[in-house]
Amino acid sequence: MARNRIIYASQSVWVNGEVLYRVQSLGSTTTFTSEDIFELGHLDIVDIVDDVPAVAVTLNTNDFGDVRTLATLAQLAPAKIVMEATATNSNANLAVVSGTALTETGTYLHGVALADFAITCGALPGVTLWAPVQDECALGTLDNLIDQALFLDEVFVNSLEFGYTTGANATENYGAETDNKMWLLNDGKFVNWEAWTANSTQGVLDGTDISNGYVDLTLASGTTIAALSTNSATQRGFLRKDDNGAPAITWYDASENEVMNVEIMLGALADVGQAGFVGKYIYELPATTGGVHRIHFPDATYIPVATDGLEILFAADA
Amino acid sequence: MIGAVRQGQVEIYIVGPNDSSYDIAWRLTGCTITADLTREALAELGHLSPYDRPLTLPIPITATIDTTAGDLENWSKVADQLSAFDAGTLDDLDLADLMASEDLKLVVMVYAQTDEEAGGTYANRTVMAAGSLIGQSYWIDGTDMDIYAEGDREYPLKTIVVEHLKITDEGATLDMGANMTQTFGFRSTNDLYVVKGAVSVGNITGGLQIRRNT
Repeated sequence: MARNRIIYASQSVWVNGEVLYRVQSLGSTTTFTSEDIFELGHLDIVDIVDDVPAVAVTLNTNDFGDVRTLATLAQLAPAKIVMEATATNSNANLAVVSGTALTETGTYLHGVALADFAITCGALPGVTLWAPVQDECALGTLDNLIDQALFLDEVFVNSLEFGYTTGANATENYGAETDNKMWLLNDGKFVNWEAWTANSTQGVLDGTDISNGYVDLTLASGTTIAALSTNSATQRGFLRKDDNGAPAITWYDASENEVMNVEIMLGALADVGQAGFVGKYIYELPATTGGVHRIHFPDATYIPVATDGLEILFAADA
Repeated sequence: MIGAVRQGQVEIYIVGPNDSSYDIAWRLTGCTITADLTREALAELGHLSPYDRPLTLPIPITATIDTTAGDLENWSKVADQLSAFDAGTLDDLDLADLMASEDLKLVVMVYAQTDEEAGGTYANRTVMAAGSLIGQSYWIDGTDMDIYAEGDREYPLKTIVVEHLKITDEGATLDMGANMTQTFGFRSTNDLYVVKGAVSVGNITGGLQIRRNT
């Protein structure tokens, strides 16, 4: 049966695996720019050339005294976004400094600086934002049935505003921009985020993961990572992209404090290091792993070591 | 669970570079802080879409303060002459006084309780009996202070600090049938910090300031 409407209770907003709270509105408006091509000697149009689409994102929230939304959008390092213990040099994002030499005083603070939005080391240049729409029949329940999901990758925050006015709720509003937007539905409607980082339920990669040479997703056996329309036969619906536009997972290289998207292909353990798979992660289907969705590490480059991080974002049917 | 905060949960301070204590700014009806995080789309041959959108620096910040005009205390704060105003020795304030200040800070403190629930403002705030704050953690200058008990002093959930304000505009308006308003507009660059918990005034004045940790 056709769905006739979507209301506020049905859609949540997620950024890099974190659900955002007190969101009052989410907007994404695309402007398509194209140019009609004519030529001397012809009255009729010859071609229409598309330029890059511009997606303007608005995210309006209530300020409720939390810094989490700002910290998530600013992509603080996993260890610094937790903010649940006394701030120290190792877990704090801010420091109190003295004089023109900015000498540290030994006082550290949890929080966010505007400059964090300019930092690209240790984080991808933009955030990933998605907004699943709960099945209408599940309205008001904790059921995680999803109808469809809005997905935006490489979203760059381009404005923020704190507003405090008598007679109105305090606001914390953001603007952002990107060039892509996708709706996921049917077998791809569940956007899954699995991460091995300091701030994730899986934790950082440990010695067992490294010696195994793989990690297993928590995605249940019997479920499927979607084959999206842009995927080739050896690709699945991993939602981040490498420089060539291929499906990728995100590897955080702790020693270099660097993050990159590395291509992931469909394959098996035996493919690791083989022609066509060098330097790539391999997704092995549950049918050959005893029922688990397995991600094999590459053979040569981009091999994670203990304390590195992995972020795996994919569209699936559960 | 706090869904939103209202005027009784927000305190605004205009802090001079050598202030030794916070002094709340009264009669404020609105305060807006905006940062323009303009991005430059970097394109390259081979990709339709930009490969990056780095932030344009410096980052312009604007802050506006709307007040209901009363005495000239807010004028004197913006002119960094509050002590003379309080002492009654300040005989005049002009535009040059406003222009002279280049190191004022705007501080916003957001609280969980309203001033009425807390029994006062700033230092007079306490955790009310049987309130939802009891048992909640709180932070002062980055230190986890454990959890609130009834009667403890209440500290901000978060503190916003905008440094080196430079005035851009001011205006006084009195219309028939309306109260006189006084507005102030400021600009700054880069130095906006949103801190979890409270920040002591001594950590943002007297030559101290907040920066990103290395």
